[in-house]
Amino acid sequence: MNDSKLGRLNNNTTTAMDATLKVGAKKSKSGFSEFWRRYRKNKLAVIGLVVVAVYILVAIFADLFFPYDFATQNQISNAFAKPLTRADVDYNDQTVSHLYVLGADNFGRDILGRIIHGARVSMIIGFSTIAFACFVGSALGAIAGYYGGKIESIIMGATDILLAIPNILFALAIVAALGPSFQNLLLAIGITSIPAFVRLMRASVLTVKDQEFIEASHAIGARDFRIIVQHIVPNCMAPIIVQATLGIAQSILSATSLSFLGLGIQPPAPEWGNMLSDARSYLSFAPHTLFFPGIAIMTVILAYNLIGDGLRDALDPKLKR
Amino acid sequence: MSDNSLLSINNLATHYVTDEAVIHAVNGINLELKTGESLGLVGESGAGKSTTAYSIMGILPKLTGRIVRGEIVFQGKDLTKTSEEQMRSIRGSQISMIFQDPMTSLNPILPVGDQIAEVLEVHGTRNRKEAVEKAGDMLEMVGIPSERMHEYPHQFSGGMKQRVIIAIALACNPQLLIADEPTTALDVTIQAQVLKMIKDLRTRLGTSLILISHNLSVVAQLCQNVAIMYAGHIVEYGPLRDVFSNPFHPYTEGLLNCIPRIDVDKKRLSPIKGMMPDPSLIYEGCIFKPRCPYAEDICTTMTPGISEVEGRKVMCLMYQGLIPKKMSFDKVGGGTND
Amino acid sequence: MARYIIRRLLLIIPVLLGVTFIVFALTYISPGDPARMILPQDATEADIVRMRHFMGLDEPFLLQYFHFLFGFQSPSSDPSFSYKGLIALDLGRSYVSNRPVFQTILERFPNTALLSFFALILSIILSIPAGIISATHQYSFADMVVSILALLGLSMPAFWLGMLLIWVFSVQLKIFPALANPSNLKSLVLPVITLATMNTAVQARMTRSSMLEVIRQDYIRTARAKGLEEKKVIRKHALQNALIPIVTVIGLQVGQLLVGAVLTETVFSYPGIGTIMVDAIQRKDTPQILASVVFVAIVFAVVNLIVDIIYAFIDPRIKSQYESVSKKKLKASQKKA
Repeated sequence: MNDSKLGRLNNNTTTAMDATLKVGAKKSKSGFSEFWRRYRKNKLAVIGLVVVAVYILVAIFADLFFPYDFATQNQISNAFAKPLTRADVDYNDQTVSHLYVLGADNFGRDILGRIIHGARVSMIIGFSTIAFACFVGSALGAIAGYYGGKIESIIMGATDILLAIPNILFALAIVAALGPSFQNLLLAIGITSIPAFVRLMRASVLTVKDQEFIEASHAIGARDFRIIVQHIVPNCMAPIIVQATLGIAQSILSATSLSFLGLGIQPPAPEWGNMLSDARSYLSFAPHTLFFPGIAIMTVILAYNLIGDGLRDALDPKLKR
Repeated sequence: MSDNSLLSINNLATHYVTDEAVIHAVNGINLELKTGESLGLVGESGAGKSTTAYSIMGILPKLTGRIVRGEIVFQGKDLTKTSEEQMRSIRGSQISMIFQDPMTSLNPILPVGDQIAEVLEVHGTRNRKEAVEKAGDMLEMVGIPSERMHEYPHQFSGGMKQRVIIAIALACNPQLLIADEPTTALDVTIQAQVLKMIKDLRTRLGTSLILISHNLSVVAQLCQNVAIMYAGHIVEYGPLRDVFSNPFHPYTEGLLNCIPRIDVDKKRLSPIKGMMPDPSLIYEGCIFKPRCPYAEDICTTMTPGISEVEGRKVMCLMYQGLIPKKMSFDKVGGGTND
Repeated sequence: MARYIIRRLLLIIPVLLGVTFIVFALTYISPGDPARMILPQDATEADIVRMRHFMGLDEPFLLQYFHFLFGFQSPSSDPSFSYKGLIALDLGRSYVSNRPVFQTILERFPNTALLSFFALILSIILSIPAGIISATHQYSFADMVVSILALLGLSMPAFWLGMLLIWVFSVQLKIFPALANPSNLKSLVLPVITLATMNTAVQARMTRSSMLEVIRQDYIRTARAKGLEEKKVIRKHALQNALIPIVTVIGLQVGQLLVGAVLTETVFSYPGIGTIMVDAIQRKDTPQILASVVFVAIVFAVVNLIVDIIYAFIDPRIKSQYESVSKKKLKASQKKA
């Protein structure tokens, strides 16, 4: 008889089930640890998670790395300092020798410092817009899916119209109409992110709605809201979480694009899109002003996309290797 | 090897190799099929029946499926050692296979006539016009008006789709048809139609048949011989009438006891206790021992060989004289089956 | 078939109305008084009130929307305040240039369309083969390369990529110019690549996942069991089925191309709709902004409609649903015969 990798088993057990358990089954313990095991297998997704964790930490503790006013203050004498050069700066009425790790921009501001504070800005934008869109969108989608009829038609009709306008265009229109500011940017991106969640939630609710445990809840007299929140929503979380992650990536991309066009965060506030817009004129002789903010954007968006992909694979029950 | 032996499987073992485990799907089976014969391959889900069929056809999943030993001799040629190119010329023209779910087995964006014509064109019909004409004939043969050849699969019912699939399988007049659970996904009445059609076509075209099913009555309607599969082994193998009326292996007895019967007064059906063993493990002794009502201690350590008893092959220590024969099956008293 | 097209056309009308309504509403609530902006600094309140009347700004909201769609006849003797409405592609004149807004748009739109067209072709040529190879050779080196490149392409901001390309190819290597315009084909190379990148990435991933999904289907198993060559199985059975969702995605991406043009044109100073829009926004040229946004939104909706129709031609399941009634009756009578 052949040997298998798992060795031989003495058949002195009463049922085959016991035999399986004895050899250390690969059954899961809890739902989360099973999910985490699957997620961990995807090395890129784990890297993405680490990168985002670092990025969040940097954003939260930005001030510890770099004082904000230093990042926004002009030091014209050091304009376009090359990366890894030292120069004297005037700060707090003192003259200090400072190492420009990533170089200086056209106003002599430290690029690394501006990138770090830009991380905070983009993190706020990413999280707040998606939190808003997720909450509002999921609520609307759940209501539409659960109640059906006229309510569903109205909600889905409005969603279709929103979807008929390309995202950036709509955000552009909102910002153009209301003026470029941080709040308007958040509003614009938040609103354009809603439709995806509405659709997702409604689709999930529709699949779960007709299942028997919902009927059982009805039968014991639970109120609609309770049914929705307690039973339906938890079953729809997986695609929502994936969409939220990918949505954050999209949101950051939109924010930097709009700022690049001058329609988002206004200078001198440090924002990655802004920085690239400034860098445009100085491409030929100060390319470092172009590289680093762009690398920052790409890294963060890539990390979120990797996480989104990893989540999608780990949460999808049908996927096998 | 007799002259009209069509297919001869000797000691075939097929494994699926994945990152986590090796699945021992088929563990050394022997089968023989003569020209014109019909063989039923019966067993629970996971017994290895479909894997056997895929092994014959050479369509095991590329990444994981391996034939690890044995030979499959078809018309004198060992299929396990045949090149992929030659296998392709055999598939569809000399050995055809039909699968379980007719709803998803047809390409939704091609008309059914084209799908039948395709198998003809792959295997030699040069002329497109000829292939289309023959496709029409095949449709008529399975009871579908040939004008419908331009319609798409979604315009047909489940039973009709399965008939189209049969038409595709038999278009090149293969020597052997393998049918893997062809009626499981169909209603009982449609099931009867499809089975009758397979029977008629067999008679008409002389096709040999391997019918895979977990449903004993389906197999009984169509097959002369039957092989009972359990956990990758064939535990009993012989003429169907004999096996079903007087089973020799405890598993066969167990299966037959699961069926309600008119001729025996029984208060309850008796299912076989336990479950099939984990195919990623290797076991000592008799593979059926944990579920066998007649097992003795020796069954744990000694693997039964294949005994020839009264024209049948059985894999049980009872027939090697090592344990007492205690079977208690209510033998069927010459019932009439059609 | 015609019924399907008509149905889709009818559906698009409420959507277009909704879109125009939203865009118009946005301009309505926008702070800043157009009348004030046009008049010189020293205008009196009375002047402003009169100007608002001439421009129709003192009318109720819905009436203004109606004018926006169907035209407005200004009480002023100056004809430049009157316009024939969106229906006639006339929404007045730009505050900045005083040219009719749609005239500028219609002049520049072909440039954007040209750029988008090239980018579309490039993205299709690259993404579909890449996706197919990635799917049919899953877990191979090629698959990894395609997947990683696609991820990078997705994550790279288009405007940054554009500037990087300029730095490499214009500043350093001096092969391609940094400023693009439609008369100089060579100058289009960099903007087309920039514009196509994100699309290629999305489409390649979509092709890959669609193919993987299709290859798992039972009818692929049937095709193999017929003895078909693997190449033919992929080409005839898998690909054609996989194309259906891929075409949908490509169609959606065309819209994204138009929009992405806004960013790309800015980087390369290309005279298209994108630069008009951004310029207009920076100069607060409301009629121009309004007209540009509405125009792009409408083109986007029309493109999606065309994609829907193409989709119906490709997928016979939809086609047969909308077969004419007469054809069906004929078939039924044939069955009885």
